[in-house]
Amino acid sequence: MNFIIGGLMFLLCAFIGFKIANNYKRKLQFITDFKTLLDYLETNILYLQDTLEKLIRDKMESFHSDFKNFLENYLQNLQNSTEFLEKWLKEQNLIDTETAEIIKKFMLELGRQDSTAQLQSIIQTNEILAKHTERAQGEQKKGYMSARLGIMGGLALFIIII
Amino acid sequence: MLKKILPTRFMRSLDFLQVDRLNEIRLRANCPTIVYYGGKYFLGENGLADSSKDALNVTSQELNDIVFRACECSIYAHNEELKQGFVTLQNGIRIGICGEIVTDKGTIKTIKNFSSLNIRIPREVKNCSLTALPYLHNENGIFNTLVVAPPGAGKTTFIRDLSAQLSDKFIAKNLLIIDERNEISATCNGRTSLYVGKYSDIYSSCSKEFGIINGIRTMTPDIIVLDELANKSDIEALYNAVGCGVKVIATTHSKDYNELQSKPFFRELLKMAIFERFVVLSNAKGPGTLDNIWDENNTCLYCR
Repeated sequence: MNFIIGGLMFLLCAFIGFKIANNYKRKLQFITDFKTLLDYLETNILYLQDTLEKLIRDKMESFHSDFKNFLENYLQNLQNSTEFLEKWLKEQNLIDTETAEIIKKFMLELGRQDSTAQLQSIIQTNEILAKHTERAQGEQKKGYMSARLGIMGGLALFIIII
Repeated sequence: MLKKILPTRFMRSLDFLQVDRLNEIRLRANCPTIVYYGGKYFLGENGLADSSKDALNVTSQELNDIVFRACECSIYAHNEELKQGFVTLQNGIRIGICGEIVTDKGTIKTIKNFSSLNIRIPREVKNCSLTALPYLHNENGIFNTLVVAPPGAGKTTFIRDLSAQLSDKFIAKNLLIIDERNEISATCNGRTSLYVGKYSDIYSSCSKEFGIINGIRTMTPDIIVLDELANKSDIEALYNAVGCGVKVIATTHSKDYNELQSKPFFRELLKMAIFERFVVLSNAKGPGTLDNIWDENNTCLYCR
């Protein structure tokens, strides 16, 4: 009986550890994907001048699922994105509010400016996001530790229980 | 296409009208909306309204949103058009735009805070140029032709049909359309929304100067069709084209032939003797009424 309970405790701790690590990983992926989108837009708005929808759809497949979902919803609400972005800001819990605010602000302006102003906005957002990316990278390291801690803690509990 | 750009309450109102009779919608911030629907009317909640009190008023925010949607949510992609005060939709609907002009060292950067819009819905009137066509060519070929008419009298509709007639009739001739505002052909993704002939080549959304110079180099046209001659650079480009042996069909704003001759800018053009035929259109019996056709010697070849 103790063996089973110990095993379950080990699995639970390991699961929590991995879950935390995964959340940090997803957060970093989301921010990195956003930065990739910024770089992509910077090049294409300057040269190709394709419409926003075409540009985003062309690039969409290369992003991770969280950011891809975000973009899909954004494109669905492209003509009136304010409401969608307000709702997203309130409901999302993947990234911190400060970073989400930056993303929201940028997405609200996206497509509403001429190419010079749009490029300026991309460059500025990219610069602001640099420290957020660094922070997310640091947090991802914490995430690895959480995973390790989960396994170690689970093992310790398993040993104590049996 | 209108449905995609106009606010819902305006679309609900337009549902009461026959869209194919609608020529123009004039939207001014916080002012009653006017439509040209076989006459000038106010647009109310349920179609046409009797007075300005019952008319729909558009807000500044709604005007900004209309332009944003007309630009396919990508102002940067349409900024060259915006700078010239218009945006053309995929099906040739042209939106004329007024607002605050943003300049930098004398050059226009963009327009912002839009204050009024003029939405013009293009018409395809098949065979509308047939009456004029026999006067515009002989056994040696096409004459250089200038279509003269006041705004809204059907110049673009006329040259659209003329292009189609010439392209289909004179297959051996290469016809190049320089569609600066993308109104003649309404080309989108390489496809024309309005019929301009099976054998026409189209430069869309490019300046007349670029179109003429590069078109002659690369597409070897026999006939060039272009809309709205307005300034000296247009005339210079045109002169180059004619010098290369290319025939030209163009349009310009003027009430009639006499008014055209009195404009200093065109007097020079007439001196150059580029054009051999002048087709005058008016609104006398509705847009596109063919009033008269003149030759280069001021002889009236056709009179209504």
